[in-house]
Amino acid sequence: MDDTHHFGRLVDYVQLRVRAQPRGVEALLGLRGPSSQFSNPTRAPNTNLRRYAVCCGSRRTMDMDMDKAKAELEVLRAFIDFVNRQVGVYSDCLAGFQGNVVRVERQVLGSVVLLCIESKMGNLS
Amino acid sequence: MWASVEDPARPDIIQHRIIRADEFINVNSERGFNEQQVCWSIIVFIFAYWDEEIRPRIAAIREVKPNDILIDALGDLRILRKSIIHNGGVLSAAEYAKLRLLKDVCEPSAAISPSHDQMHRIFVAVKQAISALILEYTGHLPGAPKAGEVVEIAIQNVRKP
Repeated sequence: MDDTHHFGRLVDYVQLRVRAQPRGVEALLGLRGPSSQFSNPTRAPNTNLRRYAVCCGSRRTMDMDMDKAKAELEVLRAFIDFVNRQVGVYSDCLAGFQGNVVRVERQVLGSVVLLCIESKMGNLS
Repeated sequence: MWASVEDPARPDIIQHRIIRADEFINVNSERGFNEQQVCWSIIVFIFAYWDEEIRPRIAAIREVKPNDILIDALGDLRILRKSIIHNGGVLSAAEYAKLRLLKDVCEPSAAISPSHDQMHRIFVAVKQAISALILEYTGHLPGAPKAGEVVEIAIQNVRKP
């Protein structure tokens, strides 16, 4: 039997990282059979990553409104990208703050050291 | 220290401010004023994007009103955003009591000033909120995770043959 017809058409992957053991690809919106090329995936290097195949047209999802589910995925993709950009901005800003602190502290410390040397030289003289 | 948004090597530049070095270090220190401002900006920005762009589109797809789509984490962001914009960044005790998920990232009657770990907690809460939206249709399927377990999320394109 044609896999595509029987198990549905693959639409997307959703990667959900959870604190659990690796379980490879699991069907999230649909059901894929053992003969599917996606049922025996390469394990992701990160051991707590689960990857879900988003399928449509399978028997299991007949009672779902797949059009709505797929349409929402496109909207949520934009939201995920937006949030990830904010995480990037936050991380980069923190690095900037730390760098500023280190640089300015070094300048101030350098001045202090210089003053001490001058003072010492003054005492010596 | 002199600070300017213009090139200091050019003549007649406008100074933005003159600040003592120790104060400059202080505002740029961990949980200092500048980090707090970035955190506030991100909280307000994420909620605005959710409330004005994503929520109406999801509501249109589900054929409901935007206010009918309720997610606890994003509702908490709304409370934080309201305090940041309308109460000088101070979360009143009454608003604090309304928080459902993010009580551990702030304190009542105090300025909202999340640490790195607390900001990470906010990001994870937002990602769990997105997971809850995705799992709206599929959460009942065998093998589907619970939104509260999720710590990272991405949608990957299928490679076209």
